[in-house]
Amino acid sequence: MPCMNAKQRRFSCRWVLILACATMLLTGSCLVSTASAANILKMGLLQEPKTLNVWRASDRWSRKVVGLMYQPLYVRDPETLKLIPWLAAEPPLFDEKTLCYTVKIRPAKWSDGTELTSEDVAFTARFINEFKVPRYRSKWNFVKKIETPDKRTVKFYLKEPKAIFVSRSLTTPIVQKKEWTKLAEEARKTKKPLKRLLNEKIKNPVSSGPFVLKEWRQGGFLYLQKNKHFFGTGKKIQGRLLGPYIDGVIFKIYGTSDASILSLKKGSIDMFWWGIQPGYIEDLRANPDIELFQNEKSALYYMGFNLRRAPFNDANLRRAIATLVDEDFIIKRILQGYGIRMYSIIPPGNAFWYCPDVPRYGEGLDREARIKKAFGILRDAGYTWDVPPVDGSGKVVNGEGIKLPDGKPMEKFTILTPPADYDPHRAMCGMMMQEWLRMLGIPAYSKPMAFGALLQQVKVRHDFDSFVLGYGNLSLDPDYLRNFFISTNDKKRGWNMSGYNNPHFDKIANESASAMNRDKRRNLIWEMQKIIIGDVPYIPLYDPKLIEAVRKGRFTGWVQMLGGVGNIWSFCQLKPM
Amino acid sequence: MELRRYIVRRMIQVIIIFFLILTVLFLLFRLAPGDPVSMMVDPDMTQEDAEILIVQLGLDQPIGVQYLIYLKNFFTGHFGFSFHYGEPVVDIIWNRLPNTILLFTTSIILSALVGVFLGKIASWHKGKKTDSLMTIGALVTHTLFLPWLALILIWIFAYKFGWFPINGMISEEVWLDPEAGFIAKALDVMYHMVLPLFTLFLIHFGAYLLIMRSSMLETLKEDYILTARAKGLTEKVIRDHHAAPNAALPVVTSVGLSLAFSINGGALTETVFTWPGIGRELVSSVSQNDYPLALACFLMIAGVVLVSNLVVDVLYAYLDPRIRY
Amino acid sequence: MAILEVENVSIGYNTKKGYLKAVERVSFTLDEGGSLGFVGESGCGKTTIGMALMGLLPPNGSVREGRILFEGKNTLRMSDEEIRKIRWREMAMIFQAAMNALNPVQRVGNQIAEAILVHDLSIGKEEAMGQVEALFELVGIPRDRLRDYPHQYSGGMKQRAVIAMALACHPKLIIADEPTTALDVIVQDQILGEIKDLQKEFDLSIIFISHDISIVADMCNDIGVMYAGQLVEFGPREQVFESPAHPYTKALLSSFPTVTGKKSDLIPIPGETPNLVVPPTGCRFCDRCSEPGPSCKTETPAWVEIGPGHKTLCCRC
Repeated sequence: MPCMNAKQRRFSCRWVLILACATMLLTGSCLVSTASAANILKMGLLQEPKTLNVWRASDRWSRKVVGLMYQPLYVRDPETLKLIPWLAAEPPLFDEKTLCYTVKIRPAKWSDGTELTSEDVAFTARFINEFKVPRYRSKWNFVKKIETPDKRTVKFYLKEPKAIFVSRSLTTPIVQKKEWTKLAEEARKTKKPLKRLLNEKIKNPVSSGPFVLKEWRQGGFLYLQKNKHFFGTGKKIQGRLLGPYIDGVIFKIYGTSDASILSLKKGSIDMFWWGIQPGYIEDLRANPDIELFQNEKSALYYMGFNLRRAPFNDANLRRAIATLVDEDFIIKRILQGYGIRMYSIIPPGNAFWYCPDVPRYGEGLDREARIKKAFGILRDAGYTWDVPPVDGSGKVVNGEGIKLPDGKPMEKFTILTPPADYDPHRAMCGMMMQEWLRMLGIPAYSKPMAFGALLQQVKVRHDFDSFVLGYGNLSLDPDYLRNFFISTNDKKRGWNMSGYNNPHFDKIANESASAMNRDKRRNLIWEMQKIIIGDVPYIPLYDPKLIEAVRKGRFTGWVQMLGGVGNIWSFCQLKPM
Repeated sequence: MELRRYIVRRMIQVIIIFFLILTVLFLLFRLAPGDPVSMMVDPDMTQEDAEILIVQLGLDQPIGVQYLIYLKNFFTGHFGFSFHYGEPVVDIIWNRLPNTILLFTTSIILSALVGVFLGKIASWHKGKKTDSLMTIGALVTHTLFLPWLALILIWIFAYKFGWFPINGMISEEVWLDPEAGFIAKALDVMYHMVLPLFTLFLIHFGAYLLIMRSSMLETLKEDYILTARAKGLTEKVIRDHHAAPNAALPVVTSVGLSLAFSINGGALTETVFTWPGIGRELVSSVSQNDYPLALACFLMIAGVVLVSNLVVDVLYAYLDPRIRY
Repeated sequence: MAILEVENVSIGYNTKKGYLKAVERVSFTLDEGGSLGFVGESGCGKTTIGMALMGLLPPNGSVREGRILFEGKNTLRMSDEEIRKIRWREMAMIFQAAMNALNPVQRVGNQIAEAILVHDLSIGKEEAMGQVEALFELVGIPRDRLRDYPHQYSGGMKQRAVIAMALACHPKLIIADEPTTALDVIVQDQILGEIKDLQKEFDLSIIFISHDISIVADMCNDIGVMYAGQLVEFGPREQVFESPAHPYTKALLSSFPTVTGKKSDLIPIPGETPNLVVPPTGCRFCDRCSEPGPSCKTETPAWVEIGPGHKTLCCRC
C-alpha cells in the first residue's frame, strides 16, 4: 500500500461521494413528482397495528383497522347513539318467556364472494364460547343455545336475562365460518387451543365491511381496498346512503405526533387518526387547509382510593377530598380548556345513561370555601389537627398534623400516577391533588410510576393508597359501572380496584344487569351512580375533548360522533371532491 | 495454532457469558413489576379473561419451570411467540432487523469514514483555525439531542423544502405501483434513508473525528514518523500512509463495537423517523412486558456484541501485526 | 574538501518553562569521507545537532543563529521542499532501532523501497524492491525476511534494516544517532563493524552520536565532546584520548571502561547538568569540575588551541 498513489485514491473517493449525492437527489426529485392516487384516503396512525387477527386485536391501532373490515350485527347511530341494525336487517325480537332473541340478517356477502348467513353468526358465537376468547367470552357465556332456522335467521336462547346482550354481545364482529372452522380444527389438536388461535397470523382476512385488506407491508403501510361485496353499498341505513365512495384507505405510520401533524400540513395524509394535543391546535386552526373537529369522548379520568385500608376506608375523608378538587383548574389549566367536567362515572356525552343528579362536591366554591367545607366534613367526622386548617377566627391557614378519628396521626400516603411522558395530564392531576390535600394538612405524595408497575400495584397486588387512572374509550353500555364497583370483582386482577364493598349497591347492580327493560335499567344505573358518587371510591376528574384534524379539499363528508370522526359512518360516506 | 487455541478459549467464555446473561435477563423480566396481562386496561377484559390468558401464556407456572421450558425451547430453536403480536418472535426480529442494520451500519461506516478523514486533517493542523473549527464542530454536533436535531432537519428538509419524506422507510406510491421494479424500490428506500442517515451522521462523526484526532496526535510523536520525515517523504504521504493507518486502530475498535451495538438500533431515531427497526420494538416490548420478544431482542444483542468483541480482537490482530496470540 | 561546515550554530526550543538553549554556538567541519563523533551525556544537545542537520527539528525548535553548509550550500536557507529532496538522498540517518524507527504496520521491505521511490521517480516498485534485496544482502538479512513486519525481527536485525534503509539512496553523509544502544554487546560489535566496513566501501562521511565515548573512539577519526549545549572539546581521536584537555572529557574518559581499563578506575561525575533555560554565566561545567579556578564562575571561557586541530573551551587551559 505505501506505494499507492495518494492523489489517485483521493480522486476516486471524491467521485464516489459526488455520485452518491447525485443519485440521492435524482431519486428524490423523481419520487416527489410521482402523482398520488386521487381517491385513496390516507390516514396517519401513531403506531402500526400489531395484528389483523380480530380475536387478538386488543391494541387500539389494530382495532381501528380491523373495525373497518369485520362487522357486527348492530352499530350505534352517530346522532342518537342508539343501536341500529347493521349486518342485521331489523331490531332484535325478544321473547321474554323463552329468553330468546331472534335476529334477522341482511343479504350480505363475504369479501371472497360467498354468502354471509346465519351459520356464520352462530359459528362466531359458538367459537367464542368454545375457545373462551378473551374480551368476548363474558358477553356470550350466558347464551345457552343458538338456532339457525334459516339462512337469514338466528335465535339466541339465554340462560338468564342479560341487559348487555344487544349492546355488547350483538355488537361482536362476525367472522366467516369457512375460514375459522379450519383454524379451529387445527387449534383443537393442540394443548392450548386458545393460544394457537390468538397466535394465528391472518394474512388475508375474509371480512364483510366496507374495506378489505389489499396489502400490508409491515413497517411501511397498510392498504385497505374498497370491498365490492360490501352489503351497505347503495343502501340507505338510518337515512344515510352508503358507499364507500372512495377507492381505498392507506394507513401510514408515524412514530410521533409531530411527524404526523407535519405530514398532515404537507398533505401526505388526509387525516391523523388520533387526538390532537392542545399545544398544536392554534397552529392547525390557522391553517386554511386543515379542518378541526371537536367531539366528546366516552372517557373517564378519575382518582381512585384503596378502601381496604386506612385512611381511605372512611367515606368522610373521601368526600372531603372530593370537595377539595378544583375541577375548573383541571379543565382550564391542565387540559387548556379542551375537556369537560365529570360529575359521575358515566360521561355526560353518553346522555341516556348519564345521571346528572349526583352530589357535586365543591362545585361553585372558591379555594377558601372548599377548604372550609372539607374541614367541616372532617371535623364533624372526628378528625383533629395540631394546627387546624381553619383557625378560630375562621381564617384559612396551612393545616398541620392531621389525626384520624381514633386519635392516630394520618400516615403519609401516595397518589400513584402514570409518568408524565405517558400522560402529562394525569401526572399533573396527581401533583395538584397533592397540593390541594396538603392545604388541609393531609400528607399526600404524588408519585409517578411506570404504567405496568402501577397497574401491578393497583390491580394485581392491591398494594396502594390512591391513584389517578383513566379510560379513554369506554363502551356506551354502562355495564362497566357494575364491574368497577361490585364486590365480587374485588379480587386479584378484578376491575373493582378500590375494593368497594356495598351490599346495597351489589343488589341494584345485579338487578341492572338483568333488567331487560331499558328505562327500568336506566333508573337502576342512575341509582348506582348516586350511590357511588355519594361514597366516592372514585372521584371523577375530567373527560377530555377529542380534537381531530383532517385536510380540507380532497374528501368531504366526515360524520361527527361521540368518539370522533374516525367512525364507520365516515368511511362509508366520505366522498372525493 | 496459538491463534486457534485463543479463539476456542474465547468462544467457550462467550458461551458461558451468554447463558449467564440469558438467566439474568429471564429473571429480571419475570421479577420486574407488572405482567403482560395487567397491561391490558380494556374494561372488557374481565378477571376471568386475564386468568385464562395467564394460563395460555404459561405465566401460571412457577418461575423455575418457566425457565426450564424457556431453556428447552431455546435449544430447540424456539423463542416463543410475542405476547402482543401473537407472532413468533423470530419472525418479528427478522422483519425489523434488516431495516435497523441497513440504517445504522451505513451511518456508522459513513460517520467513521468522514470522522477519520476529518480527524486526520484536524490533527495535521493542530492548534490552527481548521483544527479548532473541526474540534468545536465535532463536540457541538456530538452533544446535540438527537430527537431535536432530527425534528429540525425534518422540518427544514422534509417540510419546508419538501426534498425528502417526513419519515418512514418506503412510500406507498412506489411499492403499490406494479411497474416499480427492484431498482425503483431500492432507490425509494435510499431516498427515505437520507434524513435519518444524515441525522445519525451529524451526531456520530464527531466522536470518530475526536478519537482519530487524538490518536493521530499521539501517533505523530512516534519515532517512525520521524523516520518517514527523514526519508524525505512528502507530508501527505507521512500523514496518510504512516500516521493514519496506525492512528486508525482505536477507531477500528470503536467502529467494531458500534456496529455490534447498532443492531439494537436507536429507539429515538427509529421513533422520530418511524424507521421500522428493532429499536422501537425493543422499547415497546419492554414497556409492555412482552417477555418473549424483549428477551429474544436482548439475547440477540448480547450474542452479537459478544461475538463481535471476539471478531474485533481477531481483526485487530490482523490489522496490527504486532498482536498475535 | 569539507562536505559539511557548521558555523556558530545555536539551537533552542520553546518550552513551557521558557526558551531552552539546547545548543550554543557550535562549530565544526567534516571532510568528505571523514568521520566525526559527538559524545556527551543525554540532554547535552548532540541529538539536536543531528536533527538540525537533517532539518528535522520539532515544530518548537529552531536554529537561532549560525550557518550549516552542506556541500557549500546553507541548508538553513533552503525551502522545505528543497531540504526534503536532500534528505536521505544526500544525507541519511541511522536511527536507534530500539526506538520505533520502523513503522509497525508496514512491511520492512516496503518501508525501505518507499525511500528509494520517493527520491528516484524513474524507477518502478519492482526495481526498488530489487534494490532493497541487494541492500538486505549487504547488511546480512536473509532476503525472505523482506516481507516481514518489524516486530518479527530481532533487535539486531531491526538495526541492520535501519542501516539498510539509510543506505538505500546512496547518501554522501550518514548521521548515526545511538545506533547500537539497547543491543547486547556482541550484536553491538557486529553492527559497528558493519558500519565501519560500509563506510569504507561507499566512502561515506559519518557523524556518529553516542553517549559512549569508547564506541565513538572506535568509530571516528574526530571527536567532539559536548556538555550542556556547548562543544567543549574537539580534536582528532588520538589527541583527545591521550591528552584530554577539558576536565569534563577527563571525567568522561575515567567514567567509562576502556577495553583495557579496570572497573575500579570508574569515577562517576558528581553533580547535575545545568538548567539550559537560564544557563549559568561563566563555565557551565564549573559546578561539577574537580579543579575549578577562581575566575571560572564569572569568565566566559574561550576556545584554546592545544594541538593541531585540537581545541577546548576551558578557562584553565
